[in-house]
Amino acid sequence: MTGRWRWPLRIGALGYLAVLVALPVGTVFYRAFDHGLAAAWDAITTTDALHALWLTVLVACIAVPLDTIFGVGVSLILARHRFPGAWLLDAFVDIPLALSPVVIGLSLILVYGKTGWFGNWLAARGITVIFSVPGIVMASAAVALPYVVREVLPVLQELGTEQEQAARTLGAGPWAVFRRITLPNIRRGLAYGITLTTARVLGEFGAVAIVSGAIAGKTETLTLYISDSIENLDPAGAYTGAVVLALFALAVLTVLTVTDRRRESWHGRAAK
Amino acid sequence: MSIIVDGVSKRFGDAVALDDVSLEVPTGSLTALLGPSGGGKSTLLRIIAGLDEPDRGSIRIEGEDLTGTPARKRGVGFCFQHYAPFRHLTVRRNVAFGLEIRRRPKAEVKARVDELLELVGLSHLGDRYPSQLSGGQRQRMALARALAIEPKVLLLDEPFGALDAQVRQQLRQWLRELHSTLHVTTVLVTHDQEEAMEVADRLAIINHGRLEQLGTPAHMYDHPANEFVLTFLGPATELDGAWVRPHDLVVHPAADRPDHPKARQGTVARVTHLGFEVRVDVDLDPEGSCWVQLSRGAAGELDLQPGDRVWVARTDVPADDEPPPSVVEEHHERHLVTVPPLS
Repeated sequence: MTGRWRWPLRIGALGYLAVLVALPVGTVFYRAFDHGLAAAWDAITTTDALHALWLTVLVACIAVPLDTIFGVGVSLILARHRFPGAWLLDAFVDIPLALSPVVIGLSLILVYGKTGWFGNWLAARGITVIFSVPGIVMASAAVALPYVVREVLPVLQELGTEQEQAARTLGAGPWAVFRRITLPNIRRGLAYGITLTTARVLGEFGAVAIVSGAIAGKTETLTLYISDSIENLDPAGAYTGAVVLALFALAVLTVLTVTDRRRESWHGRAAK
Repeated sequence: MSIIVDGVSKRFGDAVALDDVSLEVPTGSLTALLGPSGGGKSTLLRIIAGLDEPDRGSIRIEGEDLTGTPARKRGVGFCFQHYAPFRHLTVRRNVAFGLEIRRRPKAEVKARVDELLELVGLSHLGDRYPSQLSGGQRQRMALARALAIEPKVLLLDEPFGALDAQVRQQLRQWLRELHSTLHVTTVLVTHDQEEAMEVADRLAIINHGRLEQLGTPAHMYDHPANEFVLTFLGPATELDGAWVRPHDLVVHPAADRPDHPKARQGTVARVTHLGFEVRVDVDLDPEGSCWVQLSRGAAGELDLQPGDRVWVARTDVPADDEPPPSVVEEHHERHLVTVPPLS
């Protein structure tokens, strides 16, 4: 890049970021604390806000591990086994990326709702999926499903199988090979995948809005609570809710950056 | 016998990797599986290790039938061509891997790793990561790692393939010495005949998935079972319809007819100086051609120029032996050669 273009490019890139991200998010932070720290604290400690916060954390704690286990499993299957229809599985994983979350939420209702395929069967056993926590978890997990696979699969393919074979000849069984060889080698990609999954689950709106029914204090996650607050002309609630979500995201990104640094100790030097 | 391979066949899709191969590896020997790339020798090594399963045939190691036994239960040390170092573990932890899997006591693991690092000359690099080692050092680390489990047999896949010429030469010598210290039955795969003859005490030549010949390097060089083995193991040229090593031919000036009934006359086509040897191409009368390998001294005395008239004769067959046989043995022992192809 010639010197003449360096500064305009930098200013352009930073300006783009400022207009789309920094300025709006900054404004939210500013507005949240507009009426002082105490007012913000009051807004976020209402019963509904606390419940939304708790539900969001609960959903993430279930959906993220599910997606992680599924993602690693599918990646291993796709990277380590040849079988007919592998391409189909590979393509299926991407559906949630391509499809609007609203459609995913709607399809979950069609299958698990009261009038859905499994509706009666589930109702007879006293299980409510839709308009309840299981539905929210399913919707969140479905929407965030591709991220772990998309991060881990290329790492596994790049890794190859020689180290795993070497471990086998040294006496390691399948679990030992995975835990001692495969996992440490995919850790970085996996961490990135989990981060993206978590961010997506925390921030998911469309699919959750459809399946949860957004009942305040019952099936409202943080994103739904924010939307609800705006509609109820309660900007303080919306802004503080948004700030909490943003802080979550910040925490997740921090964890990622820290893990990245640590991995570099051997990964970065592995220039062969 | 330490390893007995009996009638092993393996296909990958339509490609035949191994076709009814049988061979035995004596305890304590250093055997090279030698042959051109894609000939099936690496597949055979992987089948012995249990990394691939044969379609037919069996593998016995120290009397025990291990066909179908998973690799981790075979007690076989395996070194990969690119060493397959565990990149996230230090040299010490790499070497300790097999012992840690076996849950040996910490003190024992430490003592054994120290001993092995000493053996392969990496004691001072124990805390490095594989990415900080040179190719030769990684190779030695991989060897120490494989030896840590006290394997019944040691299998090396193209052990020097990825190294530069000088390091390769050093490691050959080193491996030879290591083997004479440890006496562990070793099988190595190589496509380099010079390397195989230098390092191994026995060769198994494998081509197109079949065992061509099995024996000591010297025996096979002098008594190749067929044309392939002859031409693969060293230089060869044709005289009177028989294969002969070019260093088993002599050149005489036209005025000095050699005392050999089968001597042929010809014209020097080209003289090539290759350092310690001189290669002389001769167009024979009335047709055909051959080439003769001479020492620098012999070539200097003859002072050959293209166009010179010369006699060419064999030195490896007595003059009264009629007719001169090809060096390829027409009748070789049956068990040394594979039986007819599959299908």
